[in-house]
Amino acid sequence: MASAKPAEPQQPPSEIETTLTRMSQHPGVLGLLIATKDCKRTKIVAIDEESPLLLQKDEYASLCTSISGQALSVIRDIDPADKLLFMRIRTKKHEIIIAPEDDFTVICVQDPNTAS
Amino acid sequence: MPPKTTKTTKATTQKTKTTTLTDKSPKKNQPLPSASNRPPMTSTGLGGFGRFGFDQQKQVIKPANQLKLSETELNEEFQLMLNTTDSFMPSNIVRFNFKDKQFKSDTNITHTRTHFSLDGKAVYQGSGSSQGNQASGQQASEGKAKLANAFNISTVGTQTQRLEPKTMLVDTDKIVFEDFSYTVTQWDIFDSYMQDQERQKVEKEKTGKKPGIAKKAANQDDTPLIPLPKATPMPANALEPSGGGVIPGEFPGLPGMSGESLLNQQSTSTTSNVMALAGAQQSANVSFETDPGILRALQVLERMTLQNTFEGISEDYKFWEDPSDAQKGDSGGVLPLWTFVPSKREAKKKTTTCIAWHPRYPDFFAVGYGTFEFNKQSTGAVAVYTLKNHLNPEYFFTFDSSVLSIAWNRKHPPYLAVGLSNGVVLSFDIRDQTNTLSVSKLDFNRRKGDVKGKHTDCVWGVVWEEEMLSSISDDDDELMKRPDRSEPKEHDEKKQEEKRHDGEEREKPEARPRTQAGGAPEEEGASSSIEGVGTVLSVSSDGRVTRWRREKDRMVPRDVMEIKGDTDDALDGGEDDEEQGETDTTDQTIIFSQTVSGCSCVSVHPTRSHLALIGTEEAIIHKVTKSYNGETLQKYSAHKMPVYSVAWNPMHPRVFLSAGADWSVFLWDHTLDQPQLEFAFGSSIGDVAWAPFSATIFAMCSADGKVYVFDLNINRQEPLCEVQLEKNTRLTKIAFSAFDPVILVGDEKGKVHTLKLSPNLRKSYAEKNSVEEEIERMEKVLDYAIRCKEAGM
Repeated sequence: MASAKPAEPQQPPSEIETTLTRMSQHPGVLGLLIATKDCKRTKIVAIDEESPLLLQKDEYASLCTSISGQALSVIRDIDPADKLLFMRIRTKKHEIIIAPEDDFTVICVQDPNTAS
Repeated sequence: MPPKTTKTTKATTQKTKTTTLTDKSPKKNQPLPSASNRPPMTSTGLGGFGRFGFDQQKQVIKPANQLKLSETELNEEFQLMLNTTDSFMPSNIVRFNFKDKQFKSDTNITHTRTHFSLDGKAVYQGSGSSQGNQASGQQASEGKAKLANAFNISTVGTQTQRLEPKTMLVDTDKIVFEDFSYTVTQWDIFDSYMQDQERQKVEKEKTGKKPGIAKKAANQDDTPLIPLPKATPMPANALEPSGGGVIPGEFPGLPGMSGESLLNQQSTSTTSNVMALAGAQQSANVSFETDPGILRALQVLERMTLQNTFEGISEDYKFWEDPSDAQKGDSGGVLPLWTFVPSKREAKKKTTTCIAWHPRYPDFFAVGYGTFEFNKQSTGAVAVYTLKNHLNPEYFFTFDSSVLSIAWNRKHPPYLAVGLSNGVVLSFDIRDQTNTLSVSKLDFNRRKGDVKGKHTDCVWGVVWEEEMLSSISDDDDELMKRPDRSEPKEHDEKKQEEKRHDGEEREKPEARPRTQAGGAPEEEGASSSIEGVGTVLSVSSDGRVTRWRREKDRMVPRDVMEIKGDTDDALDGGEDDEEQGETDTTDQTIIFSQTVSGCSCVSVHPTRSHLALIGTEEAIIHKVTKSYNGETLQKYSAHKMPVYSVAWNPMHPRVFLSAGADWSVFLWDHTLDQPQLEFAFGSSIGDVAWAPFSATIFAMCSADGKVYVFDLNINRQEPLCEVQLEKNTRLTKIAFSAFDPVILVGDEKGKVHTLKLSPNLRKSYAEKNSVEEEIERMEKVLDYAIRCKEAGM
């Protein structure tokens, strides 16, 4: 692979990095956000400068994490052996896809109307 | 003292509410008042005077809410008792007994009340051992020396000095109080139980004893039975009204967690510590990227965004049925779905050389990239795609020469066998590899590199061998024989077929040259290889059919047979046909000088796995048996140019198709030497494939970019569908999905097209005919073919 992150000159770009960049270039995707569970640290990948993710990253991080936590609690209360994989919130303007993991939450905002 | 009893007193009768002046009860025998019997209040307010017999005018004032009792009730006698128990002492004191480690009721309750006590400091004067008593000490020194010897031992009770208890104030460290709040949810408890189970399982394995003992051993560790929350700063969102959204992972020491997890929890618990953990992992960015959970989530998200974007295609794939088929009569069409274009550098500008759907997962398939032009050998690649993500393959591997054939292992889903153009045969688990294999990393692949007996030319076909070879000899295999025309014999055939199935288990493998019996031990050794994954059969242009066994780091080949050219021609001496390679036709007695035919395709019979068809570059198709000492059973020659593809019918046991560079496709019955049906096209056919759900539907792709779909049940001469997929592009391979009515077509530019068959093309799929019905249909087709031949068509 040709591209290498300037911050880590010795490591090849990891699978996660390549997937992130590839995804941020998908048609309609406004950005991707990875946040830790307590929303202290976030990582945002977005190609658009004006992306709402960039402008409101803290809100996105904390609110989406908390609602996915609630949803996780619902699913697991119903059946503790089950687990939440991801949730989609379709709004008038965008679609927010949230995938909670053990330590992180991955949030993707896509505008499905620009998609073909 | 005997308990004193008080006599009952009679309550004074009250006639009116207001004060009365008469005092009816004589006060002469006034009993001593006790606590429960209070003298009535008098107007003077001093009930005590009544005791002394004052006969005053008493006004009895009754409060308004005093209980009114009737005469009988008033005269009712109540027993009152005095006893020596202290009624203020509780009788149910329970104390924790540390010896028994449980709470026990304390029955020994003293009823003594001490009103005053004073500890004296008096010491027995006469005792010699009293210390601090000056007087006695002096006396002792004055007297004889107190030597304890055998004659002068006095045992005297000594009074030890009583140490005065003093009250002393001590300052302790400030006790830190913390508020801890947590919302318990059912799944939280479940998680804790699960973790405990895991811990116990691990313990059990460690100690290797019975679970009871293991548990005990576990408790004897340093871990407390009920680990208590350690004092750590409270996480920030502990007090939020989260209503269940609090994540347990941040809270330390929840009951039920083991010691190790406690420690782990410690490190991830607090807000500040999360940062510390991240900080410990070098830089802020790295922790995001090393988490495998994120990769999983990202993969899912990627598929979801693609699904959003290309929603139309996904829906078409699942739901679209071409409504115009109803008006089209018999013919149908194909709907293009996704197009898979490799984005990786290694696969760009390469030809799609092989496509293989995964046998188990409906959306998974592998594509091999390389080149068919032999003067321009270059690297090759294999990409494993899923239909859910057409932009990026799930797995991608590169090799140092073109990939020409791939095959999935049916029983072990992650194993893939690859045949390259330099003669290398590989098989590997796709999960084990890193995503791109550089050339130098091929060492750990199962290559046969230095192994003797490697192929010297392109490997055109690889097939996994998993099943045990059939133990029926071919002579007795009724199903493979052509039935006679008359009805009764067909019934017989069916009966024999049933008998065959019953007897298969019981039948001993007879020593016939065509069965595996002779070489059984060797065979079993080869087919049930060390790792049990299976062996790979490969055919190559050097004319050899080789079976590869997987060993630790390489594949070990064993030749099954060589596909020989037409020996008659060789013996006749120098007939100029298409035989290639090194020949020594002058010496007719030397057997090994027979020419070999390069094999270009292979197809294993779906039910009788010892039979295989191998198409050669000499335009001859060999039916061979793969058993120990393989040999050619029959040859079919009808093509005039190399055979590019052969395929057994998935349902009908006797029928197969062959396609070649001579622009034609033949349908054969393996018992007959001549093809039954012939289809001619305008250009060479790259590949032909049967539909897995029918015995009469097949498709082919040609070098002029067209895809043809036939259904012999409906039309025996013309395709139901002829579609120009691409212009000026050769279509190289075609493959039917086993689960959906979808075909993949690969072209020489590296693209793989997904096409969905319209309803007319897949009537059998919709009808879900049984296998027997399909076989019947094929039989009718064969009959038709024979009739055509007899009629001289």
